[in-house]
Amino acid sequence: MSEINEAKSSISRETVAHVNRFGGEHYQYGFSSDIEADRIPPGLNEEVVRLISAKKDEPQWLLDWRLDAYERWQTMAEPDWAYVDYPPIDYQSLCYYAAPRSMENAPKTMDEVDPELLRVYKKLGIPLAEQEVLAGVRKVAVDVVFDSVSVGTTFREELATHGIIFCSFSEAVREHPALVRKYLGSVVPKSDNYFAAMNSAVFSDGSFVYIPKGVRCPMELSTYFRINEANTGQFERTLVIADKGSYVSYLEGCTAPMRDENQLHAAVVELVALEEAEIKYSTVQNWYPGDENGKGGIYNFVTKRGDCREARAHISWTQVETGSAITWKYPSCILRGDNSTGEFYSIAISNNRQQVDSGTKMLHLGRNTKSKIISKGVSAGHSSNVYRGQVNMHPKAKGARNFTQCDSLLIGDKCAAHTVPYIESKNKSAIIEHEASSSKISEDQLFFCRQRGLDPEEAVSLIVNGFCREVLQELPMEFAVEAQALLSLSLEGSVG
Amino acid sequence: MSLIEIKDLHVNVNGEPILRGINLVIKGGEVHAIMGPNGSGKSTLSYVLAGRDGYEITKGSIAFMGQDIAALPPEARAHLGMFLAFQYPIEVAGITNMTLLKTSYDALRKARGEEAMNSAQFLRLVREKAAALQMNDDMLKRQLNVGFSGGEKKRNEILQMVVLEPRFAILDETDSGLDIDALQIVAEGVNAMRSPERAMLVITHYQRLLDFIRPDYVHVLVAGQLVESGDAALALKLEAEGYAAYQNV
Amino acid sequence: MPLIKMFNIATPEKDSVRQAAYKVAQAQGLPTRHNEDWHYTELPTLLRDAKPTQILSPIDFASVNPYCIVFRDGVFRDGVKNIEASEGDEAAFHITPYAPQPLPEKATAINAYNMAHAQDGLCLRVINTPSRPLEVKTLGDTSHHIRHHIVLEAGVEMTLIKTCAASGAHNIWWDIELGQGARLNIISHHYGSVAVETQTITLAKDATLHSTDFIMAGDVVRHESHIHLSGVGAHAYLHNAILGTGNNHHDMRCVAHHHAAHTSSTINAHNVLDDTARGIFQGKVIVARDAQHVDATQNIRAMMLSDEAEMDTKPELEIYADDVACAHGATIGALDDDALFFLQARGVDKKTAKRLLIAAFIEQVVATIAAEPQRVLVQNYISSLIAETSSA
Repeated sequence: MSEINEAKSSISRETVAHVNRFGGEHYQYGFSSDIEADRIPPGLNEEVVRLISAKKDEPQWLLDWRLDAYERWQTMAEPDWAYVDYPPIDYQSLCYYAAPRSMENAPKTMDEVDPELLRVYKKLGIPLAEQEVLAGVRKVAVDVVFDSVSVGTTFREELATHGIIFCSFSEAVREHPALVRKYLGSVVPKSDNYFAAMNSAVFSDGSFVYIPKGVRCPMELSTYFRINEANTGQFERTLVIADKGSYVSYLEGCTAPMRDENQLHAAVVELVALEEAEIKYSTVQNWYPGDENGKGGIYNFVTKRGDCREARAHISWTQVETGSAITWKYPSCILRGDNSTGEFYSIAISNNRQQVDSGTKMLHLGRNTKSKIISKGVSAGHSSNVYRGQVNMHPKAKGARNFTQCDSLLIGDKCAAHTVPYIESKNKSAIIEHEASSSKISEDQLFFCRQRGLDPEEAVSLIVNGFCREVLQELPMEFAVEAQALLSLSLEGSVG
Repeated sequence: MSLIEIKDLHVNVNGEPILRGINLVIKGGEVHAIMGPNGSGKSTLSYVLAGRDGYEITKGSIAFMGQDIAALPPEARAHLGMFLAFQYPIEVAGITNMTLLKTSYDALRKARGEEAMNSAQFLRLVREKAAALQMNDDMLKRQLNVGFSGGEKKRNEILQMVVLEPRFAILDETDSGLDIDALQIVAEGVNAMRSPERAMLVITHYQRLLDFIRPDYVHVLVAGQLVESGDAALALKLEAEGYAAYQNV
Repeated sequence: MPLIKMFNIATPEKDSVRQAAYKVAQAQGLPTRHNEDWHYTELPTLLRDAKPTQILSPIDFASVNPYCIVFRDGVFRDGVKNIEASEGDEAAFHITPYAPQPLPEKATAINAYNMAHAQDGLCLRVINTPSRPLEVKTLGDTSHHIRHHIVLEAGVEMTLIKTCAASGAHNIWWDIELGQGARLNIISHHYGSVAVETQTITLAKDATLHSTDFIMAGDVVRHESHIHLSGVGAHAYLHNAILGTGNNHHDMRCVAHHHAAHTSSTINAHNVLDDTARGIFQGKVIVARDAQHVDATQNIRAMMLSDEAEMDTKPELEIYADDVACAHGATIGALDDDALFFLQARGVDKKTAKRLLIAAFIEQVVATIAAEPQRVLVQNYISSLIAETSSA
């Protein structure tokens, strides 16, 4: 019974009420918008790479970098080890660049942004006009990526007074080429894997963050990704650099319209934490998951990696994965600096025909490095949900420690839950502890909740929230409510 | 002759000074109690006496029966007759209680140049001592402290002590985790061991244990130093007044 | 001659069963790390580099008086008469001559190579519960493939001791079937210099398997178990230990396939690695759709005695039914300093204390051998092995 009480206390009635407000609407971000776009013809070849680079007026070194990545990509094979199943992707039929037409003369300030775009984001619940941020609410600076390009970044002036750079990737290439050149590809090399290599060749835009030495970023930084155009891949690139002793919390949200065909999203995120720096990176991934028969939805093949490059650096990944038809994503930490720490908190919910293969890698290279992995997988419907993780203790990682806990919850007898941990130790002073469990949602708990007046969906929502509480509490407040609501929404129709 | 003589003992743990000049002489037949608040260095004292790694003596000396033991490994000190009853008894899956007792007993005999005792004879000896502590055969066959309650683990420590018959026993917070009945049984076991050639150092946070094991001397350890010594009455005073008076110094 | 040659021997053209198997084998080739099941063992490279060393003498089970069947240099040498005409057990065993069989679909390369090349093996049907254990010994200093097939009929109970102490490389395959309510206890131990051993054991309704498997020595040893819990109420207890020293490469893989409801499996592995040895334990529980009320646990532990040793483990769960209780845990660490200090404080010298703790660690596997005489033999043997490890 204590478990139930715990589950109950971890989520309020308010949350349940909040969830109910979503009504029967399954995917509320499923609208598409009529915004005139500048698209290049479908297909991927050297000319396309050159064209993208030229459109962005990039320096020669970056074009060379892209071409090199493209060359390597051609020699690589699509990975087949993940437990995901999808028809072959015809990479030549996709469009690799689309930008809203109104961006051809890019706006200088938020006031110049196409009002139609602003309306889209308003519909998504993301205020882009700075004056819309209510007094008393914690400020969140937002960079918005629409299809392939960044359409606007808020609070830039205020951030600039702290020396913080927060801008679109294209802008960073123009304004801060030395920083970009130094760090781009330094965490995820351009030939790291098939999708990272593709991204390196054709990435269109993304966010760039630099926090100077000793600066504590005064507000949450955030990027909202939106795929609008049909048949368009999105390949954004995010680079976050936290200089010595700095701190930043970064949020990432994603949505896409409901479309019958699958859309490809292959992003790369690189984090660099220098001495004593701390980066907290949170994601609420709510790409369109496809309908209940598995038609449509985003293919999400994302490479995210953080490098604790110097001593006592700290990187923490928190993710709530509820969307996408296919999720292939392993936010990882390279714990290079002595005494550096890495964390991975994950909730992955799959319903209907969704397929999730997600987890993390913790590579311990430095002495006394520590990592913690908490993963909660919930599978419902006909979905498949895999935790895949690697913990590796290098011979030099003396005194390193890892703790891993991955739990799976199964709702219904047509879904699947898998756990694939790779645990590797090459030194005797390292300690690794790994725990995992798989179980179904408890009949006793369900009955208890219903006896206390909750309907089955409310009851499941309550129990799932309780099951995920260790991860939910890691989310910044701005995301926590959204995440809790999403959990319930994603599981709609899974009971009854 | 003094059994143990601690002179101006300074001990660092992880580079931090924990004990800062302890002086203590314990003679045969005596029972000393050390009391002190949490973090005062009580357990450090017991570990450094028993020879645990990681406790660095920066100054001073420890002599056991006239011999400087600071450089001796833990087993050599055990061979000389030193015994530590652990505050947190160790669990070892795969080793039974009986195996541990026999291995340890034989190691001590061997160090004295004696033959190992035959198993049947040893079993009789252990059963007899275990019975006095109200421990049954089943407990002897179980794996060392695995699945034991807190009280059973502490009783097990005392069983090891009465079987090994040390010259000098350190009881580190032996009362913690014991209910009043178990405490009485343990105290009886300890009291039965008292003799003119044997000494004991009882480390405790509470006075309660000392109602059952009457100390000859009581010392107060605060911030790594013995700040006051007296007889059993001092323990009662501490119980009534706490350690606040010393900590303000 | 490089060991890899043993997998690439021409088979007689007129032997169509073997020919077909060899085709399947060659189409796949020997497993490499790109094969997930062999993630940590690059077999072709290991076979190329392996330099077979002196082997230890195995545990002598003579004192428990088992029926003993010996395969020396790949062929059956000894024991049949002794088994079939034994007083009291006359009707217990039925042995048929070895003959290759067509491969099942989706056969692995190792299975196919074995079928293509095996010249002999034990084909045994156990009809009544024998009064004594059966020991199958693999000996010899040349390289071979051997293929055994054992069927325990309904209700039969038997102990099978598998001793592999060949200095020549071996690829040993076991197909074992347990009839309804049958009980099989296995004690298997490896000393062979280079060996790949696979056992597939199928359990019918209410059958019970207790398998205790040791890799105690050997340069390159791969031990793979596939336990198929096909009947309701089947239970498997799988206890494994690796003791890797020197430059040993010991790889165990243990897969419990739950095909039926109300089945349970326990996978335990205790691994000790010293010197530059590498230990691998891949455990996997697969629960099929509709195999409800399955209880499966995996517990993998490793004790690292040297900074140059390596332990890799992959405890997997693959679950397609919802009403299950599956859990696994894995811990890797060094010898427990607290326990070491405790034993020293009780007068045990450091060397002995270390040995005791290592033995205690493996004892948790040894203790699962139900029959005391066999258990004591294993215990004593392990103590003597530990005394020879460099860090103890």
